[in-house]
Amino acid sequence: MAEQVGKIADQTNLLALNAAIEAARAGEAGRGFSVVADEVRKLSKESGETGKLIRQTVDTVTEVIHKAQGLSASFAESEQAVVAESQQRVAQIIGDFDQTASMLQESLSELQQERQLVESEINQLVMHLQFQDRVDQIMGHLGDDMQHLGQALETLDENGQLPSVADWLERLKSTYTTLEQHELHDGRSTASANTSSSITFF
Amino acid sequence: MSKTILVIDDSASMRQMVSLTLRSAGYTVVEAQDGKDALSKLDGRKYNLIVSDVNMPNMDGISFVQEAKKLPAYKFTPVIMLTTEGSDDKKAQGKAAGVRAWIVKPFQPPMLLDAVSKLVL
Repeated sequence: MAEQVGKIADQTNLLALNAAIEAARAGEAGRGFSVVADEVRKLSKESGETGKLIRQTVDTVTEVIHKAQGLSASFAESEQAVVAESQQRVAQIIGDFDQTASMLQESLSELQQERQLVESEINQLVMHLQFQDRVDQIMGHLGDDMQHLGQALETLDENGQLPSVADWLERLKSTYTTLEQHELHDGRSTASANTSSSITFF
Repeated sequence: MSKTILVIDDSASMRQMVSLTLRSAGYTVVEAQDGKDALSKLDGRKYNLIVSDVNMPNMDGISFVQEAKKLPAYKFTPVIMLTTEGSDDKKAQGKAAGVRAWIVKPFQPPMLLDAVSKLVL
């Protein structure tokens, strides 16, 4: 548009020049027309200046728009880079988190296994301690029986008679409290002593 | 509030093992060293269950159960006998006295806890 304005101004200027020449040829009769031609030339010159100004303004605006486009493109690029970096970081964090979670899961199952082992060992220990307790009881019965034997020997000194073996064993049997004592007394194997107990509900 | 169990055994180590097993399962335990000591602890305290040995000095487990069942507050308290005694004769005596379960030592902790959870009030 600015170019068109410039062209029109140039053509108008040319026409005004031609008109001034023609007015000079016409002599006195063309003097008035010459003044008008001068004015038209001035106006065409001003139009030409205005055209230049318009072009300069348009050039400036165009440059600004180009710069803005450039900036916008550069912003978009850096924004994309930031988004990509953020995505990468988030993926990294999720990856790390997954790894930590699976490590924790692994530790948890190891701890559970350990716990089961410890529990089983405690159960075994409790069983063994009870065997010790049973042995203590049996030893106690033996001690009592030895004491009883001592008393019987004193009685023997007075009466000159031994208690019968059957009576002695029967009395001893009556003091038993454990299954294995009864089993041993009857000459059976002591299988029950090495196994865990059963439970009877009434 | 956790449930309370009276544990009676003349062997201190046995009492500790039974108590440890029960406490680890969240029960509160009161210990007594024989039947007589246990009777003195039936003083109005509420017990949700009693675990008792059979052969003990001063008062044996069966006699204790017979005495405890005469007390209205403890008439319905379930009793488990935990003993080396395994004869049918003794078991029959326990059943007649009102015992609910009979476990022959050595006990396995899970087995004791299973019986306790079945009978505890």
